[in-house]
Amino acid sequence: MARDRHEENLANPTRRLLVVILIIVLFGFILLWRIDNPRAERIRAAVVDRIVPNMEWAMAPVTGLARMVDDFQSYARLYEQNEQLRRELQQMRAWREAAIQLEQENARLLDLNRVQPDPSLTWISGIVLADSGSPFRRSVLLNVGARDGVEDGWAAMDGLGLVGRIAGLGERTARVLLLTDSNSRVPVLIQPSGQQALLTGDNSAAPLIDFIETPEDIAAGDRIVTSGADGLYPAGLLVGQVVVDPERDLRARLAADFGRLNFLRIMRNPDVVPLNDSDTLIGPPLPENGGTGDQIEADPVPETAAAQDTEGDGT
Amino acid sequence: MTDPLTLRIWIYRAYYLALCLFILLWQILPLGFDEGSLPSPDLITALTLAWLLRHPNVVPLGAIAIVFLISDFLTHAPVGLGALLIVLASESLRKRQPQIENMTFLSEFGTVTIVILAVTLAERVLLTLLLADQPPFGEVALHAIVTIAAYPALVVISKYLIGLDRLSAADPDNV
Repeated sequence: MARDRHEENLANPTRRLLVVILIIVLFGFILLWRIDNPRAERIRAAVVDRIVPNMEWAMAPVTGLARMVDDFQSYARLYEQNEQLRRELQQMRAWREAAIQLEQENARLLDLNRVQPDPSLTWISGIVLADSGSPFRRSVLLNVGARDGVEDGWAAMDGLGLVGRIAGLGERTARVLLLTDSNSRVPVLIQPSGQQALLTGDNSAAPLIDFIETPEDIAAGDRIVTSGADGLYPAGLLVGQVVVDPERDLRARLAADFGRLNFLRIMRNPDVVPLNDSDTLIGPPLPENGGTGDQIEADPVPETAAAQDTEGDGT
Repeated sequence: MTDPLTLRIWIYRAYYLALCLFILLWQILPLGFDEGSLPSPDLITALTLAWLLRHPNVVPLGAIAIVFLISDFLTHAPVGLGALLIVLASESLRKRQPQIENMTFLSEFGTVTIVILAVTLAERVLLTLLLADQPPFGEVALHAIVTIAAYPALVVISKYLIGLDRLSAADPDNV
């Protein structure tokens, strides 16, 4: 009897029609995501914007509790850590002395040159609300968004090093694509050899350093900073140190503490052109007339270039 | 006035939605990424399949579509892809319900393994056809295996903690 009712229910033509409509709608979503990705990502940002901040009352205590458990585990090693901290403190005192001297020297030199620090390099602070929740993606969600003046493409740092950039912006939330995500590519400079390279995320904790001209000149422990060559990240932000993995590949040990992202700074960068149309690119504007015939002929390009010019005049 | 059976089904439906929301929020808690270790299983898929095979009325099509669409949005996955594949899988399982009712757990586990692998593979094929970026195959396969391994645990939890067990031949009115 149950079976009969069951089959009758499944064979119901209205239900069948609903299933077909549902499948078509979902397939439409996929096509939209694939064809007009910026629009799909805006819809995603809007949906996330509706859900996550409203769930904060439930998520924040749990996050706090889980972090406390983490901390408690580290209390177990209290003595060990205390010793280690003492040693580090000793080293830091020496560094502090050096830093004070350098700071004074720097102030004198800046005064001699009458240099004003760049006022555009200010930041907005945000708290991490959530992460990507998927093993294949490395991103976090911040509690600041478009209404706080955040824009797509701005760099995010923790206190020390680069963390990623804004990719996906809602009214109240912003998603930060981390350096470790497999879609992340950042042009970097390796000091002291001064070589350009590309930091390529691969979902592991240490991103790969790619496209190096002479790898022989690079040693483990070299500093990695952003080069600013893409016009997206400001130049000179600390990324991390070079390490060599067992397969002899060069990787970056990141300076930011990716295990415990809590507060992030979003660096204001007026040079970033926001991505509004599906056929423009994030980054510096293309040359207005390159002379070569094979320039991309898209309408938005001169517009963004013009916007760039007015911004340049304003500063 | 309400028939107690209908009431129970609606309670379980609410249970399903609440559990899925809870799992989703738990997944996106910012507790750091598990580097190097096993990926965490896709609990929502496993839960949906377990309850679908036990009691198809408890996981109606609309609930599945909503849960997986929200999951796609929140986890930064291709929008609608996960939802589409799970909806197709659930429909094909619903059609086979009469055969599934009389299965042993081992054959049920085999069915679930096949479904999860098929969904993973279909996702891969669709993304390839759409020329989209994909995570490395090894990671995806590992994720599917971890999800399959989590399935028996979810069945035990559903049975003993939540009290949702299979339809037995003994009480046919339990639909």
